[in-house]
Amino acid sequence: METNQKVKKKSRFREVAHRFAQRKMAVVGLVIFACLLLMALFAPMIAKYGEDEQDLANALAPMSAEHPFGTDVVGRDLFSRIVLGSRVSLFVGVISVSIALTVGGTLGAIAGFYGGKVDNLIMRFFDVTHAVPTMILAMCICAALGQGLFNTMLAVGIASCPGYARMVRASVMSAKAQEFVEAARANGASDGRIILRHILPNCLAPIIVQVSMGVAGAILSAASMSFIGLGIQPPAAEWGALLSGSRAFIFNRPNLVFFPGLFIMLTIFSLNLIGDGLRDALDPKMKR
Amino acid sequence: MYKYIIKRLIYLIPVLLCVTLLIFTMLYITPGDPARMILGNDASDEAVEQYREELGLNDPFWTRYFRYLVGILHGDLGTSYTTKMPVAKEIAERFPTTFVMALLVTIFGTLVGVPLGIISAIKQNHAVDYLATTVGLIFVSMPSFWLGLMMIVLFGVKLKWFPTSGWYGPQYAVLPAVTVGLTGIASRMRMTRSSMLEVIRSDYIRTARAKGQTEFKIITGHALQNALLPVVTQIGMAFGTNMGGMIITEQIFAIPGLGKMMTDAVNQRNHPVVQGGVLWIAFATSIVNLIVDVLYAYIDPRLKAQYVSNKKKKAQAPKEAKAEGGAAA
Repeated sequence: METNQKVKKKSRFREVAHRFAQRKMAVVGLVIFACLLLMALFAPMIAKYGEDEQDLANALAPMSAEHPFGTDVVGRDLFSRIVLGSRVSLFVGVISVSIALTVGGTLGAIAGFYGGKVDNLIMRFFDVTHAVPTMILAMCICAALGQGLFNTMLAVGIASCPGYARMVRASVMSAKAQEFVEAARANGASDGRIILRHILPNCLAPIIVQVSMGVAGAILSAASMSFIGLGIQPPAAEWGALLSGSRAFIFNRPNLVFFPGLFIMLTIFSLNLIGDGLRDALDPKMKR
Repeated sequence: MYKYIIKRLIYLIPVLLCVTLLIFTMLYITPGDPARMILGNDASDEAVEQYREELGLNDPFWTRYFRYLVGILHGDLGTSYTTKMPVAKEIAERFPTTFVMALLVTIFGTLVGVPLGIISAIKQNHAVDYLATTVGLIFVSMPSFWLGLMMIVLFGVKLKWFPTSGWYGPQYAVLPAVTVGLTGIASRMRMTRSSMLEVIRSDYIRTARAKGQTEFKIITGHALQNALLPVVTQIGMAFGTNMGGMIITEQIFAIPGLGKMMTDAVNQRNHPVVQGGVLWIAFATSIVNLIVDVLYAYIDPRLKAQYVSNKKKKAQAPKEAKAEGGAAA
């Protein structure tokens, strides 16, 4: 029984992986993202200079072999800072989505599973947050919590909760009506066990897709927060903060603004490609 | 239908009430003293304390909240800490700018994005499709602040085609509109494409082809109507978000709209303006959502049927049953 189940799981994974591999653009996305991930992992080895290593004599240097992306106003090497900053940006993206998925997903699952009054209460609350655009909500939460890395992640995470709640609720509701749930209940499984062991695995496809795109969205939101001066602040090497810190020099040294933005874009682009590919690969309708 | 609209409007009241409570609480726990921000660091502690008393900042939470609610009922959203202007007046002054921009951007994005999406769907897996989807995804992935700054460098500084900041005439709207519009085009295109692809695969399109309908008529007459439904929702949502101000874009191009008002107010701890702004934006977004839902019902007959009140349905049901029974007999 146990081995049988394992074999089945593996084949499902293989099937999806196979269909994913057939989409060229999705593979391109995966390769770009893997490179970015490796860059973040080995950042201290790739970066020639330290995060705060200043060289005032060499401030605002143009692009050269020594400084591939140039240097900023206090002579810090932009390339090194971008490489080291990749850790911050990717971390922010992953943690924000984890927060959103844990809080929003749990509430959505509860609302979808129990229905009735509980559902009404939870969803009416999300209606309220839905009335305020995510960006403005994140801005207000960010202001309320104060600046800093953790608070930014929390703000972006909380602000994107409603989306996850809605999605998880919808898929839980459709999975709940199926017979295996009734079978599990007949076997005496508790509500928690039914949700976690029986319903959730059947809702994974939309969750995986939303997470891959959600990380992209979270990185973008966090960078936007830093840009308007609410999130992570300039001395830190977060990409949005790097960009906003050099905004004043955009006319003389556009490269200082161009490269951090380029890396933000590459990350989001690759995650969106992966998300698109996963959606197509996981969609049963696409099965031939 | 009217009943539905009125129901939705009534439902707006508790939602907006909760929005005020949510924002009020958030700002209540926000660190930083507004009185200190206004008077500056040189002011004596006594002066700050006196000013706090004047603004009513020392009162308990619920007292302040109810005073605020009573003010709203009288059309008073409070006074801006920085400009000393009534918040309602400030919003009224800035809203037209944002509204014009939002309208411009939405129209631009739709007029270009939807046709591109249709072409891309028809030519699926051709070079045109690959190019369009890839370029579209690149634009969706671009941070708007980066795109805006790059526009300024390229078209404002290098080519000197358009002014880069301020709001004094139509030429000032070009760069910001294109910045937001490009992202809009890309997302509209992606949406149209995927929804069009789904419709093209359906049986009734195959039927239309089988009976020899021309491809052009199949696309415009049969497929488009159904494919555009999800696009309408997306356009509505994008318009609603943009009405709340294109926060980043307005900041970059120094456009005196709602978005810039909000960022400035949040950064300056200008609580009355933040509260008033959020309330107005929530109101505007909800109204846009309502209009989209109503519009949707008019385009989609399946949905319209749902709004027919239950009484009518009950009255119709026996008749239909009879008719069916008659047909069977």
